[in-house]
Amino acid sequence: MKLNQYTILFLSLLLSFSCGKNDDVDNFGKKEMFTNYADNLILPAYTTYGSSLTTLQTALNDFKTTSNLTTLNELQNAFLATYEKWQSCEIYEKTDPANTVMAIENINFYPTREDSINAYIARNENSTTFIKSRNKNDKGLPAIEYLLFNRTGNNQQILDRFSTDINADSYKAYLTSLIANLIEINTTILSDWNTSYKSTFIDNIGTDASGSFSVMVNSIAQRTDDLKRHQVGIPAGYSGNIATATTYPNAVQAYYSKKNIEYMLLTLNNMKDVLKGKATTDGLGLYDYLKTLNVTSTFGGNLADDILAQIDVCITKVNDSGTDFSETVVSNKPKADALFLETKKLLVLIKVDVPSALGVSITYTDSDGD
Amino acid sequence: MLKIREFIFRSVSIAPLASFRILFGAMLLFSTIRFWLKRWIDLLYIQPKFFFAYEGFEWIKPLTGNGMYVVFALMILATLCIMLGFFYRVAAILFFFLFTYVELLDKTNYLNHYYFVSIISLMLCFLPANKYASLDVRFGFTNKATLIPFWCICIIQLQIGLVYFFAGIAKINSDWLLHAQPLKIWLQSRDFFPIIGFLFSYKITPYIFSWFGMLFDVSIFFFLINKKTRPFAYATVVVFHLLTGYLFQIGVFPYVMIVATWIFFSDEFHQKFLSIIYKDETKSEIHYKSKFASLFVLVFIMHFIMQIILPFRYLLYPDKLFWTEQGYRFSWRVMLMEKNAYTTFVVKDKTGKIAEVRNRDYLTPQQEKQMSTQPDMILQFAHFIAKEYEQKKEFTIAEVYVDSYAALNGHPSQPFIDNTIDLAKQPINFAPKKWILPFKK
Repeated sequence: MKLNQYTILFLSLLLSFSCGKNDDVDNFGKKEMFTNYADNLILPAYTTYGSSLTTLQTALNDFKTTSNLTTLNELQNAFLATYEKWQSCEIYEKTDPANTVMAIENINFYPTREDSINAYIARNENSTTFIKSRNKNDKGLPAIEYLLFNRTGNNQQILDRFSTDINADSYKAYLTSLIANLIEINTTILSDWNTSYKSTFIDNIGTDASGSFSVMVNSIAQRTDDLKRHQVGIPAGYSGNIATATTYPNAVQAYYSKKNIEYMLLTLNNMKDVLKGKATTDGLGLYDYLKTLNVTSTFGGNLADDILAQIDVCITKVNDSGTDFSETVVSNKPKADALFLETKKLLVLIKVDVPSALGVSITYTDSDGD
Repeated sequence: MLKIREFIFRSVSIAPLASFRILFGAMLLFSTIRFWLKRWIDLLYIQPKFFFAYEGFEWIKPLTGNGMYVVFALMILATLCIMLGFFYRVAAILFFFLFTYVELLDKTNYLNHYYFVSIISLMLCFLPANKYASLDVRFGFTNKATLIPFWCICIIQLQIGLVYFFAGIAKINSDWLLHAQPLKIWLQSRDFFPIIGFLFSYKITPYIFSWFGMLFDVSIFFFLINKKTRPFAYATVVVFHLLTGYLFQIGVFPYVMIVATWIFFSDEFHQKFLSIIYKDETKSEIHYKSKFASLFVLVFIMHFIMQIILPFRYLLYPDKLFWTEQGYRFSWRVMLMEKNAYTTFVVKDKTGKIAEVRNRDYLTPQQEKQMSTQPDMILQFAHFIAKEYEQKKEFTIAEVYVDSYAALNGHPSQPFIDNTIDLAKQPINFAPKKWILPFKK
């Protein structure tokens, strides 16, 4: 008899549980979300970037066989296509495979160091092993961009480097090694994903430092920080969050090809897609998960929606900033300042509010709490 | 008054104290070895370039070379000796000083359970825990005793009771009880855990956990000292700590408490427990008497008065305690906050030089994480940065400005530190820090 009473009590307790059940959270497929990230966003991004690298290498070979303005132009286009594709990969920089090869430092560190590149080329130091051993300022996409473009758009000068210049052969060799180096790095990243990391990423859905929630939030936060700092802040003369009197127009991304504004837009639009988990179709993403948690942001709205709205504000400010940010920071500084301010607000949302809402550790620490 | 005196000096069996020595010693041994194996000696005491000193303890510095490893090796030896009751008094004193030294090196490593271990090991220095079931007795280094005055056990029980009680009091706040924060955040992210994970997708679960946790902490001492409720209370202690240990990354703390609360069990229980490892042939009663007993008791009375006052010192400071964290530590506040911050430092000088500080150039990830949410550490780091830039980067009179945003317990992020104030000029002391921006609801 007594047992029965307990059973009734237990059942009614369960019943009251099911009444208060938060269906949205419960039904949210965390694994499904990370599977979507791996299969539909991350792997395709690296794969597409990888094939554009292959195209770039072909264009380089064509250019080396016949060096003229037409083949140079094709090479330049192949490069821009590659740099463009990279903009969608950079947001995954804190996932293990990219983190291990220090993707950012080896692939897209700018401003590139013109003097040292010129010196290496003059000294005929241009092998793939040499490039591999070099500092982050001497290689990667920005170095290739420096060799293939100048800000005046005078392609004859570029062509001369590779044909009539006394160091023409060294120029070609350096460029060849730069591209080979990027291909090697991307092959490593892809094979890491395909062999073991993918299952780790999908299965480890925790919020501890190595859990995929932390990895993704860290990755997106780091990307936002880089946007604020490197793409916008440093060129506009910001030291940390403080404005200084000096601007650095040549510190922008894609300085030589003047694609910096375009790439900022790619960065921001890609960030929206990544948050939404949107590839060819709209799958599950962090946005959807955040939405189910129903957290209020510092702007007073739903955190998930406010982040997307803030990205849109940033996009508007980028669109306001002319066609070449390098010129904007000199000729129209208030526009650059306005953009900086908005990217900072976005960063606070992603770096402080999101980790707080999800309970993820933003820094990797292996220690006890209490 | 006389009754109280009788009560704390009445003779009781030494068995609970002896088995406490053995179990607690074993626990310390285990956790010190674990600390070593996790390579935390290197990570926490050798790698950092800067240490966040406790105010007034700036003179405590880490040892260089293999010094810190020697400290930990000695600690392992001391815990082993405590456990075995071998050169017990020396070992207990050695352990207390070494352990406390290590804890005082860097605030960023502060954990309430380390503070607890420091206090208990200090108590052990005064207690005759080696007078029974020990190697000291076997080798004749000390006289055996079977009966000790009750205060020798009572102080440990009281200390444990205080820890729980204040941990419970600290939970009586609106975040914890009305909003179930931070448990709401922590539990939803653990809904995939085997067996109990499914519970965390119910809205009511964090509230049940929060209220149960508070009630457990506030009342468990009273259920443990009462003989009738004790078995049930202890079972609850075990379940509670195993559950929190399973859910959260809190290291050995749950096991320390599961072991420490054995002290509440009866003399007979401990006699039986000890008889597994120790055969007591003599049936005679030998009383332990200390010349300093009254002095010791007086010292511990003062200790407990301090213990009761310290957790309330936060009332001397304005604004929300969790936000400013002024008077937060040394008060048994455990698992109360999910706090995140983004804190950046900029150095300027009169000549117009300006530079952003890369925190990670000077701090380990663990230090940076702790520093970014705690104003007293932000201030210490600002002072360090000023000196560093004046010496190495040739700034003349460096000014340090901090831009920081923090989010606490599910509240949206908000500005944390006044970025117009040069923190290099703000004194490091216990006065209220006026440059912490007020917490907005």
